[in-house]
Amino acid sequence: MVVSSKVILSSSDAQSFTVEKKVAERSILLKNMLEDIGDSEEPIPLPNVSGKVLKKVIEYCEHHKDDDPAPAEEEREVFDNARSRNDEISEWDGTFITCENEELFEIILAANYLDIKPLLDLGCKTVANMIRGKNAEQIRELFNIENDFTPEEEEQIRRENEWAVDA
Amino acid sequence: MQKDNTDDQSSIDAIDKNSEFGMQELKKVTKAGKKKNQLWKLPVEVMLLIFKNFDFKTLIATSSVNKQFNNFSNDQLIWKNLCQLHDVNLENSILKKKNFEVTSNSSSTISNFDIDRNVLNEKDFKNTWEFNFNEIFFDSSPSINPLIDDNFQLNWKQAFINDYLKKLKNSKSGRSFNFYTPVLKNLGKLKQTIAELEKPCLECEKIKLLDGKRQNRNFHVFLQNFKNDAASKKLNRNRKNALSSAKETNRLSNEFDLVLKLENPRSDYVFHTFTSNCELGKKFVKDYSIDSSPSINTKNNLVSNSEIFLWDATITNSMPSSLYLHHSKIKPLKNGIQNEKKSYCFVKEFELNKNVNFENVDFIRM
Repeated sequence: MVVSSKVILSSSDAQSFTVEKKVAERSILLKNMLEDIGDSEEPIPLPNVSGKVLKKVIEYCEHHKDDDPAPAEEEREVFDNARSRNDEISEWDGTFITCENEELFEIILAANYLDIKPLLDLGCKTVANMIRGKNAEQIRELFNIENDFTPEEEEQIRRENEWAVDA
Repeated sequence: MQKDNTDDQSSIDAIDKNSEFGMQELKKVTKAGKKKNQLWKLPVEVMLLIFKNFDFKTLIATSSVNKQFNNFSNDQLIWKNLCQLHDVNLENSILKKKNFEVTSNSSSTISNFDIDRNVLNEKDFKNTWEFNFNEIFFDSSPSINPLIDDNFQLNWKQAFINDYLKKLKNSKSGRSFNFYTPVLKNLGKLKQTIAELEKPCLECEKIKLLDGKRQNRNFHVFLQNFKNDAASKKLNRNRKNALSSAKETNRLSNEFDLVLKLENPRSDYVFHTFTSNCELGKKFVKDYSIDSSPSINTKNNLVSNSEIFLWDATITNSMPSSLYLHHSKIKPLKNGIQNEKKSYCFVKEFELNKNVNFENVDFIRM
């Protein structure tokens, strides 16, 4: 019995990537899709992911291909809280995710679209780590955010936040 | 992106040579382009995932960044998450409301309210019921109770703030301020924490145990390590063996220094005990004699063969916000006091009798 264990993924800019089925199945989207269509030689188009980002995502999935499979939907909720508080990022993941802001956001978007929960968590945690401990002005600078409050609104927020001043 | 930047830069340089005005224009354009590509193109659910990682200080900082960030930083689910993580006590309205629900549906399980009824005569009971009912009625009104919003939903942020301020006040008056103590969830986590006992100098681990039916009920178990003495080393060694050998665990169960904390500053004084020593739990329940049904046997969720039972107990005495009990009353009482006087200063209050003066309990600092 010959089992096709390779999957071809096609990025938005028409680059093709051939990966092991096991690797592709780190993505819940692809996993469900592969279950639906069965084995096929046809490339799977991923119109929301550029070749550059897809390459990076595949790199992640390759490295994590032997991890425990993602928990089923109903179990997720239970693990969510515990996991979201686990701030530890493994060394490999840390190196992997160290990149330009722009690329980081692309990866997060791709992970969200492809439904790769651990990668999405990793990305979100990384962004959160960038923000954590900074004040409002520093955050604005970091992401080029414009302050769209009126002075009155600013004053109101300052008053609302007074309780945490000593913290 | 890197490449794009370089390109932009070189075109800026090129224009710079020709016209200063042109450069300014292009810089504007570039800046706008850069902005467009920033954080807010992430979908809302992803932004919330990011915000979920924040502690409350960062949430406060983000609230004054811009309107979009302000919205996210006020998200009720995020504050609810924080409230659960930090053991926020949901006082007043919530509790009273719960009492009301319990009384009205005459459930067969022993409820907080049923327990109270045991100690009240019929007239008192009736008065209490009416009193509670009135309070429910008024407390749920948004205009009066800031914890409840216009949709009669709990305002988690406000609950967090109230709790924070209260804890801050307590910490200034010398009580323990345990706001940042890590809280672990799920019973399974306890296993992991017990395994961590092998690590030296683990002071205290706070574990929040939740299961589906018991949401909003808090259990605290502290694992306290012996320190700085020979007994400690011996015990650690024993414990190490115990973890790998069920037999050993049984033999050592009297020494197993699980510290049980009963904490509930809520006005209904519902206490939850969690102990690996059945006798102690039974005694505790007997002495305070309200609800003694061992409701959950969590045996299988815990390391080796330690028997773990869970009780609900309601204490009618006037109680402080926390009470610590040593789980094992046997050996540490004799040996422990001289060796671990410091770590076990609360042990003297360990004998559970009705006349215990809880105000004199030395609370552990976490």
